[in-house]
Amino acid sequence: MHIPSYLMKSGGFMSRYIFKRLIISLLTVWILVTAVFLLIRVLPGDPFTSEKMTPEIKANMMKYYGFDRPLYEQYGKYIMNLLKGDLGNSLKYHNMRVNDIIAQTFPYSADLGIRALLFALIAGLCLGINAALKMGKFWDYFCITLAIIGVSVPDFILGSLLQYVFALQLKWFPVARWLGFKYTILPVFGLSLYTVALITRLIRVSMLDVINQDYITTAEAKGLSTFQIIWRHQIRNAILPIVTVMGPITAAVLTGTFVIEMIFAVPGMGKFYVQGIHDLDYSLILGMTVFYGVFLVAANFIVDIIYGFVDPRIRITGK
Amino acid sequence: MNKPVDINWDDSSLFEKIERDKSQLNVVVRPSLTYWQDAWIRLSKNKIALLCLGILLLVILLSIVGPYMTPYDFKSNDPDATDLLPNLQHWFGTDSLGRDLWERIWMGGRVSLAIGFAVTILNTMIGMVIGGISGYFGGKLDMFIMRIIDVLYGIPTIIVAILVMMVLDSGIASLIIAMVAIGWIGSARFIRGQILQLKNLEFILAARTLGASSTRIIAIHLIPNIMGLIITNLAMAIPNAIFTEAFLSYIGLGIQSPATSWGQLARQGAMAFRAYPYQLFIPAFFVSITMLTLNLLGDGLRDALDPRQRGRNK
Amino acid sequence: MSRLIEINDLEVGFKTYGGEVQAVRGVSFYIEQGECIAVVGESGCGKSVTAKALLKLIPEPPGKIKSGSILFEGNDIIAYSKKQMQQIRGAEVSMIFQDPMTSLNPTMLIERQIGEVIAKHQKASRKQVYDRVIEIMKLVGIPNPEKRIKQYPHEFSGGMRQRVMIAIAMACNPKLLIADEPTTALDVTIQAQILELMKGLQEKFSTSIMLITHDLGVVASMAQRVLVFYAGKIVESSDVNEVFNNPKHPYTVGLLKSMPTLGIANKEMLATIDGTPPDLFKSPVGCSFMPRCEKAMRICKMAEPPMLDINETHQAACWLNHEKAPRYN
Repeated sequence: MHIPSYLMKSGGFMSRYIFKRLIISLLTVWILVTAVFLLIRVLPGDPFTSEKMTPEIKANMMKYYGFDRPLYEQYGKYIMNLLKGDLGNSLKYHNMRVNDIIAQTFPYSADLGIRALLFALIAGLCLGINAALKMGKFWDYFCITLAIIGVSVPDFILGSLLQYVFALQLKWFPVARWLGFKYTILPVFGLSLYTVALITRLIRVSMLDVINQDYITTAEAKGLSTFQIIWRHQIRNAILPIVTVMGPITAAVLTGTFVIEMIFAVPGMGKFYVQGIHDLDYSLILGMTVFYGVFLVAANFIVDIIYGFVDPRIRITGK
Repeated sequence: MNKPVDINWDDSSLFEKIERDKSQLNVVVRPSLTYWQDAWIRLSKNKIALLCLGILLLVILLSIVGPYMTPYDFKSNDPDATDLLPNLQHWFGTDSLGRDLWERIWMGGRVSLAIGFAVTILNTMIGMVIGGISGYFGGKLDMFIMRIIDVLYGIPTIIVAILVMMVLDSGIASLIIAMVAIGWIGSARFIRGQILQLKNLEFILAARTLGASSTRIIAIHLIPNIMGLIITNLAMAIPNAIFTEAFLSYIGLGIQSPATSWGQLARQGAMAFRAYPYQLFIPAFFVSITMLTLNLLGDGLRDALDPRQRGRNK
Repeated sequence: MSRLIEINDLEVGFKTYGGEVQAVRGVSFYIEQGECIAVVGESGCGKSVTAKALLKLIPEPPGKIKSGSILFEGNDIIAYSKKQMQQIRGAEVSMIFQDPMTSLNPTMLIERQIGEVIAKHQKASRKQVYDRVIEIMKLVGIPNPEKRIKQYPHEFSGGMRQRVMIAIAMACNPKLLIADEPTTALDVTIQAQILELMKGLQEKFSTSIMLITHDLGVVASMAQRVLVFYAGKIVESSDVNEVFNNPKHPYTVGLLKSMPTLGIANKEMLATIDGTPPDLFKSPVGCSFMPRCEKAMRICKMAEPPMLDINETHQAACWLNHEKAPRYN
């Protein structure tokens, strides 16, 4: 279907598109929240079995946390609390609200994640564009090799390997913790290599695809210089597909923080999340999963909208 | 350019009309190959892909026969032989409980590979059925399925897998369920997209105009045309599944000791790796090499099976 | 009239998996100032490759201009550097392509796509470039240019996009316009409009046009001279009238016979030329058209025919035109 831009810009299609994506995103969050709630409630055992307490105290605890109420009541209360932005209390860290734990730990994860994302974008773009321009030469093979290794080595292995070689053996960087720039290098690198590799591969293929397009021949026939052709016509079109993988990339970086934060003892959310899994700290996992879920859905939503704006060809149907 | 030929210009027969063999006129000179023959020739010319196939088959073979090659058992502890470096008795050394790592690597390989293949094949099959129905029949059914997929697509697979693993007992079956739970959505979307694209191509319209039945169109035209892409996607998705299993086991949600998988071995190795790095690096090596060969093989398959991608990596 | 461009013995090859394809095998011709020359022939006969070679737009590798000379206003541009070529492209010689759907950058405003060729070749301020873009858009018949200039290619119809392509090509008043099947991808009614536009522009600016087509109807309405390509060579070169009334190569005859005309009787089958063009992996011995030729002779198997003069403006590469050959009517 052909949609002229004056229709899109007059608010018709674009705002309908945004509205549609918004509804879908909200439904996604709702399904996730409900699924999380139900799954947690059918978990075998309960969070207090592992601790030494009398049935009486246990009953009190159950009552305190509202586990004795009917399921729909718990659900209703949970949703109400969520709407108020309250994720409940941690079971393990008594008296600590999940909100507080997230507020305390999220900045570290965000710091790590944003650094990794930025590094991945810059490095991936440079490597991918270079590889495509030097197609078939040494630099190209170098980038392809790096990229294929990057997508093949799991981040938890890469993290340990980096720690072993550069911190324990060579002692160039601190082994763990998050106290300054020097501490960030290994975790950021370990977290971002997969994404660097992904972007490199994507950009390379997309650049080579664009090189063969007719409009590049048109640009050549205009007498533009090689630099002008590459910069104005090739790169601009080749980096568009990046936007489409930003959602999955954000998810990959986010799950990567779970293990990277464990390995390098970064006091971020991922570390607490994995710890929560061990401790069967249901409220914490529930709260953090909801937080992650909303975060990723929001990220995807923003990416969709951005894509709608950057690609003038975007067709609302079938997207 | 042609070599100049000595021509006797006085020869009057030079300008006599000759009879030509018309039957040869419309014969195509070069032999034509079927899609699969062509793909096989391309793949067999790709040395890297062949090497990867070889390594992969070796890893699979060792996962089958490896455990029978030493007298040890992957479960039995030996308090007198803990944390041994690789040696002649224990080819990959032993772990902190004195279990032979050669045994555990290959028993773990069985689990990791089985999960990787099973999850990917299940995802693809479910995706083919749902995506195929949605794309081919279209209309309200397609709308309905796509809305559900749109909503579910936003949920990260790994978070669902984590949640499912918390509910189910750890084990191979649970891991497969956890990873298939919404893992099929990607392939359903992909296959639907392919079917939609093909459905409107001229040759399908032509077949329909000539009165071909739906079954015939699906069997003769649609499936053969997307098979190459499906196989390529399959090869590309297996390393992801192997990674997800390793990731879940690594954070303590997958396979639990004494049962083992590469992810579980990496987890145990990570706990001891400052003192005994080989305990992490050996399973890490096999996870990585398997993912690497599968990725490269997937690239090779894509080049061989998808004519549109040809030349891009050359 | 003086010769604007003269091509001598041009050879272009492409390296492929199966070996080297000889796409253009020794082509010589010239274009005079202000004239429209038509190049006809079936797909893969080397006409597009020749056109791209004139601007040195052959992707290298796999392609390569192997020998020959291209004299533009007397200077051999084969030896020109990349920079020198860039000054010619778009300014002196410009080109429009077959498919207007893919020939425009989908993510760039029309203003920029037309404007950048002006900015490249002329010293002009932003305002001057803008004014010139509007002017040229009016010239090529794009209605409402002030609004259309701020749009993207996907908002234009096929015919309008080809007008944009022509605007880009004509923006710097080039001396030669190469049009590679400019109307093939368009509706018949739009085809006529585009041809009309090109004809008008040619008359107005006395631009030379090299028109590549396989539509003989287009040839008759536009061109003064015709080059017939077959298997990487020119097999007939002549005035447009001569080609239609007195074709001297069996291939040209075949092309003319396979053209539907209004006068043709209903029962008569449209003639076709049997067979397919030769594989250009190896140069054929003898005449490359021989296997498909109704009138093939012994000599045709033995030697490739040279261009033989029919009269001053008409040459054909066929042994039938040799003095000793039998005469057909």
